Amino acid sequence: MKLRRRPLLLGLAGSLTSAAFTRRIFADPAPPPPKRLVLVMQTNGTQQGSFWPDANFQSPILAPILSNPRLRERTTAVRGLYVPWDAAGTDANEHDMGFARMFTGHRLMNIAGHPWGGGPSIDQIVAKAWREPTLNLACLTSRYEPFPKPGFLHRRSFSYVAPGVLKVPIEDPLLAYKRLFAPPAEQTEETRRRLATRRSVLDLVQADLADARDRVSREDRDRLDRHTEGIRQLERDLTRSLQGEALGCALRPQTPFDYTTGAPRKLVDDESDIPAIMSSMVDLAAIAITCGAPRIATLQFGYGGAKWGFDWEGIGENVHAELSHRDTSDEGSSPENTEKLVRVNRWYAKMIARLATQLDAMPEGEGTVLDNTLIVWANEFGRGDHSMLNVPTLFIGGAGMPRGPRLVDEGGQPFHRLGVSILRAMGLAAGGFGDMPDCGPIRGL
Amino acid sequence: MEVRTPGKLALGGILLAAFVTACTGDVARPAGVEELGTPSGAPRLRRLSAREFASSVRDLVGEEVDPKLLPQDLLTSGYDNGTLSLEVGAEEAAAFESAAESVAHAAVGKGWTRFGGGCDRAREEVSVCRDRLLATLGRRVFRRPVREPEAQRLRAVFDAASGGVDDAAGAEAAIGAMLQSPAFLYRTELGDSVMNGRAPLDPWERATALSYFLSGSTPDDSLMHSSERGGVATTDGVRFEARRLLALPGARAQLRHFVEEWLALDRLDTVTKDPALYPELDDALRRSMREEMTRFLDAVLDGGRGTLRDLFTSDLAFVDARLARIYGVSHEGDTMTEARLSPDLRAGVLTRAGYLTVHSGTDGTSPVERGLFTRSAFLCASMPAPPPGIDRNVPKTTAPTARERFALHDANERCQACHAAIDGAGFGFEQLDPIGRYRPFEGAAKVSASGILYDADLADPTFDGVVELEQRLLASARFRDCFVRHAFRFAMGTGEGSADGTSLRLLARGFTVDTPLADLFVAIATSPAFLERWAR
Repeated sequence: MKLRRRPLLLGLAGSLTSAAFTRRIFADPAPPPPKRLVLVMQTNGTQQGSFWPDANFQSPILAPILSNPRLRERTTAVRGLYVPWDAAGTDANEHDMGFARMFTGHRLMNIAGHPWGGGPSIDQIVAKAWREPTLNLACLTSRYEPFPKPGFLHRRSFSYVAPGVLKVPIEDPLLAYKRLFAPPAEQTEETRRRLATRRSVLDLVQADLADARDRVSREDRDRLDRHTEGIRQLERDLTRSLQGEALGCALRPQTPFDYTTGAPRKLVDDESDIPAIMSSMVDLAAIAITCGAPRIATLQFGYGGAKWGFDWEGIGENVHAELSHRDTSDEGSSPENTEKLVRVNRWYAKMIARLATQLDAMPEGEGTVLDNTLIVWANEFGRGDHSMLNVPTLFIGGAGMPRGPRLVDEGGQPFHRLGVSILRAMGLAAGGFGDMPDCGPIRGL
Repeated sequence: MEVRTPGKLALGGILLAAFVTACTGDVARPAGVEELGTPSGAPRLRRLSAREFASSVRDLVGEEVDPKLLPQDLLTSGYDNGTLSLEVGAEEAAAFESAAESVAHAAVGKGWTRFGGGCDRAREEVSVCRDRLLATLGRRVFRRPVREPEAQRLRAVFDAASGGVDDAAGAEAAIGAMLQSPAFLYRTELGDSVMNGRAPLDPWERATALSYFLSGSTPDDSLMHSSERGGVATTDGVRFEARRLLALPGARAQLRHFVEEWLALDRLDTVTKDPALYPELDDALRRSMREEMTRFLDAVLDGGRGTLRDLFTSDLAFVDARLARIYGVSHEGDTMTEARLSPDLRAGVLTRAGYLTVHSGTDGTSPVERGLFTRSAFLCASMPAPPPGIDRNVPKTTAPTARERFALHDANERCQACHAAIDGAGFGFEQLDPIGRYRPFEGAAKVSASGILYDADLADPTFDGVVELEQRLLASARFRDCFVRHAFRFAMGTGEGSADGTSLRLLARGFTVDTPLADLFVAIATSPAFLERWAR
C-alpha cells in the first residue's frame, strides 16, 4: 500500500514520541520533561477544623499525605477560596455551584431548568492548548442514590469540553486500561490490511469534517474541531499499532478486575468495591501520567453531591445526609460527628497519597515524575452543610508551582484565581478565569 | 390545530389580516394566520443520538448495532436527542468506528451489490457497480445526494481496501466510512437561503428533521423522493408527510420513547431499592414493569390517537403473576394479559408500578422526590434550592408515618415556603409504596394521601390520592402548556429559549388534554420554529 504524505508524517511523530518515552523513563539528559496535570474532585466539603495544616504543617485529615516527608515538602494548601452563590434560575444548589464551577469558572447554564457547567474545564482547556487527550475517571457507585436520577444528569462529571457539554468520565477501570494500555496488534497480513483500511477511513472522515467546517456557526466549528481532534487521537493510536507498539509505555499496571461482566452492580449500587475501584483508577492514572499518555487526568470521587456509606471506614451511614450536612461549624457539631468525618476525609487523603507516592517513585529529569506533575485536590464546597467558604484546596507536586510545605492563607479569595494559577503553572497565559476575566492568580501563592 | 408557515401566498394573507383586524377588530381571520410562529435558534448541527444512529443503521443496511458499542448519551434537555451535549470526541469517535465497522462487515457479508441496485458482473465493470453503490446508498446515508469531493474520497477508500481484487472488502470499507462521515453523523439545519433574516431548512434538511422527530430514524425512500420533488417545500407538503410518518410503526415507538423520557421511565432498568426492604424488586419484576409500561403506553397512545386524558385516566393494565401481586389482583398463568384495575386507585400512568418504582427513594416513598418531579415534569415549575445557610437537617423522629416525619418542614418557616408546594404534591402518592403496592397503613398508622397542587392555577388545588391528582392536572392549563413545552424540547433537541415564547403559546392555543397527541406533533412539525432558523 502506498503511504500518503500525512499519515507518514503522523507515523514519524508517533516514533518520536516513543523515543521521548524511553528517554524520560531512563532519565537521560534531555529537554525538560513535559508537564502533567491531575485534577481531583471530592464532594460534600471537608471537616474544616481537621483539614488545614497546623504550625508544624500537620493535620488529622492530611496525615496520609503529610506523614510522607517527600510529599509534605511538595504540598501547598490554599485556604480562603470561596464560591459565590449562582443558581442561574435553575434548581441548582451548592453541590452544582461547586461541582460544575470549581474547574470551569463559569456561571451555571440553564438547560431546560437544570444547571450545567457554563464553559470548558481546566483539564479540557489545557488539553486543547497542548493538543493532548485527557483521561477522565470516576466511580459513581452509590447504594443510597444510584446514578442517574432524573434531573441530576449534570452531576455525572465536573469536566466540560464546552458550555453544557460534559466530558463523560470512564467508570469501568478495565475499559480505561484497554484504552490506555492496549497491546500491539498482531502483525498478520490481515490485521495490517485492516489497520490500513481504518486509516484510509479516518482520513476520509477528516477531509469530510474539513469540508463541513466552512458552512457552520462558530460553536459548531469548534464542535467539528473537537471531532477532528478525536479522529487525530485515533490515528495516533493506530499509527502505534501499525508499528507494532503497545499503547502506554514500558510500564504496565495490573489488569483491573472485569466488573462489567464479573460484578456489574459494583459499578451501580453495591458499594463494597469502591475503595478497590478508586485504587485501581488511581494506579491507572499514575502509570498513564508517568508514561505521559495522556498527560492530563481527572479523578472524581462519586457524582456531584455523592452519597456513600463508607462501610470500608467503619461508618455505615449516608455520609452526605447524616454526617456532612450536620457539620455546621468549623469546630464540628459534635465530637462524634467530627471523628467520623475525619475518618471519611482521611480516606480521600489516602487515595491522593497513593497517587502522589507512585508518581514520586519514578525518577525523571532532576527529580521525579511528581516534580513535573501538578496534582490539584479540590472540593465542590467548603463544609458539609453547604458552606461555600474555604473550599479545601491542595496542590501536590511541581510543574511550575512553588515548592511547599506551605499554607497560603490570605483571607477570602474568589475560586476563579485557582483556575488562573493552574493554567499559568501549565504554561498558559491567563489573566482571569471563567466569568472573572481579570481576577489574577491566587494571592500569596 | 396546525400551525402554518408563511408561504409566499400566506404572506399577503398576513398583511390583509392585519389590515382587516385593525379596521374591524372582530372579523374572523383567514385560517392559519393567527397560528404563525417564529423561527427557533440559529443554524446548527445536530449529532445523531446513539439511538438514532442505531435505528438509522437498521433502516439503511438492515443490521442491528450492538448497543454496547455505542456512545453513552447525556440527557441535557431531558431527552436523549439533546443536541447541545452530543458531540464526537475521541471516545465517541472510537465508539462510532467500531459500530460502523461491525455493521458494515455484517451487511456486506450478505452481499454488497443489493445496496447499489444490483450489479451485473457479466456486463459491468466493478467501478460502475461501485459508483452506483456510493451514489445510491450514499444518498440514503447522507440524506441528500453525495457531493463530488465526498464521492471521490469514498471511491478512494473502496479502491484502497479492495486492492482491485476484493470488491466486498472495498464495499465494506466504503460503507463503514459513510457511517462515520460527518455527513451521516450530523444532521444539518443550516438552510440554503435567507429571507427577512429567516433561514428555512432546505428540502433535504426538512425531510431529515421530520423523520428523526416523528420516526426516530432516517428518512424512508418515499420521503426522500418527496423532498427531491419539492414535496416538503410547502407547509401542506410537510403536514402530509408528517401524517404519513405518524401512521407508520416507527412513530409508535418514537411516541412511546418520548413519553418514557418525559416520565423518566427509562430509568426503570437502573433504579435500585434497598434489598432488605424490597426484596421483591428483582430483575424479573423489573422486566415485568418495563413490559407493562411498553404495552400500556402503546395501547393508550394508540399511534398518536391517544390524548393526555387517556394517558392520565386509563384503567387498562397488563398484568402477569408478579405484577398481579403488586396490584393486588388475581392472575392465572405465566403470560402477561390485559386487565382492568380499580378506577379509584389505579387509573392513569402515575399509578403504575413502573412509574412509582422510578419515582421513589431507595428506602422509602420519598414525597419530596415525587413532589419535585410532579412539579417539574407536569407543571414546568422547578423549585429553587434551599437558600444559603439553611439548616438542612430534618431532626430524626420516630413519628409513625412519612407524612408526620416530613411535617418538620412545616415547623420551620424557612422550609415551609417551598416544601408546602413540594411535599403537598408528593404526599398524594403516600398510599403507594416504592415498588407500587397499595399501602393504606405504615405499621399500625393509617396513611393519608391528601395533598395540594400549588402553581397549577386551579380554583381547588386540594386532592386525595393519585387519581384525583391526575384529575387536577388534567384540569390545569399549566399542565397542558408544560406538556407542549416538553414535546417542543423533544422536537428541537434542546431546551426552549426565551425567544420561543410565541411559538410555544401558539402551539398550546389549539391543544387540550383531549387533543390527539399526533395533532400536537404535526403542529410542531409544521411550525416555523421547527422548519426555520434565524439566520446569523
